[in-house]
Amino acid sequence: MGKRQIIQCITTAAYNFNISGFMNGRIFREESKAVCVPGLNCYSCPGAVAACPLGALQSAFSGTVLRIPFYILGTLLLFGIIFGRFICGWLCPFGFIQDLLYRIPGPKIKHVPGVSVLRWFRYMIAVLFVCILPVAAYLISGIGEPAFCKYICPAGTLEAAVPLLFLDQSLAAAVGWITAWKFFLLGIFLVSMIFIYRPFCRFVCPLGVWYGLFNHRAVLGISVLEEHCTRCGICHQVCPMEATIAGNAECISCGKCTDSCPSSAIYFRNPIRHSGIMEEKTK
Amino acid sequence: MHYKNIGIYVLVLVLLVIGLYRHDYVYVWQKASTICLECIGIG
Repeated sequence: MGKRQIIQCITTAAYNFNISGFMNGRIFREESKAVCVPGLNCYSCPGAVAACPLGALQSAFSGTVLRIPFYILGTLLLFGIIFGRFICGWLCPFGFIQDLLYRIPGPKIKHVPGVSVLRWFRYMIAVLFVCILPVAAYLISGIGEPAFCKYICPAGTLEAAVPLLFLDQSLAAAVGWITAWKFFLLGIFLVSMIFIYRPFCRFVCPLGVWYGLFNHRAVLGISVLEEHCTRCGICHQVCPMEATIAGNAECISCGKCTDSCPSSAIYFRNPIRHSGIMEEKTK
Repeated sequence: MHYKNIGIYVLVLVLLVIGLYRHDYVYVWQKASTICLECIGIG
């Protein structure tokens, strides 16, 4: 097990250490739930001890009062500028689940047809389901709705709906067409995760869209020393996310390119060792 | 550090201060500490 997998395990456990919730179906209600974690981890999961930033953002746009979510936007901006998509690769439980499913042996689609077009799909999802639909619902009916959580988010279905329906039989009465749709979508995602590396992160996740905006300037991430780069293209070939340039908005800082680069032009930005590496690489 | 990042850090600070002053975290806690069936797709 590599360093990244160990950190993913620790992070997933840390986000969900309310073990008793998985026994009695009751969700955690302490003060820590007012704090957002950086990764996608449904706060209705019985184990969750903190809030999902996307769920918290959606909740600000739902209900009868529309509020500008300053606290959540500040938190998301802080996560973005410090970690960028390092979060997706190292600190996101749903990313970890996708990594695990991709380890199941079988045929793998390394190069997804139409990936350059499919990538834009997540931008559309982010704008439509996180911004436009919740506000439009509020303007039309006076009640906003968390459209992404309600109609798409497979993390919420897997981490919250599945265990809660299993643990609390009374919820079965509330099952309807939305549940059927969400389970259908979850099934599609889970199966595709076996054959395609992180399809949710690459083509759907609005959090990845947001963090991708900061990827090139975040404190942690991948950088390329242009003067060392020979344009051999090996980094692109080994990248499981099919990022065209190491460290761009697609890059989740998994480190495959840093290990494979024959000219050592790709490196991890590190706030402590950054200047040392730069000096060493330019020698 | 990118100099443009300083502007973002200032914005982070401003947003967090306003958010904390308005007790936005209470709304986050209220939402996160109750099961929202609609949010998890039970319905």
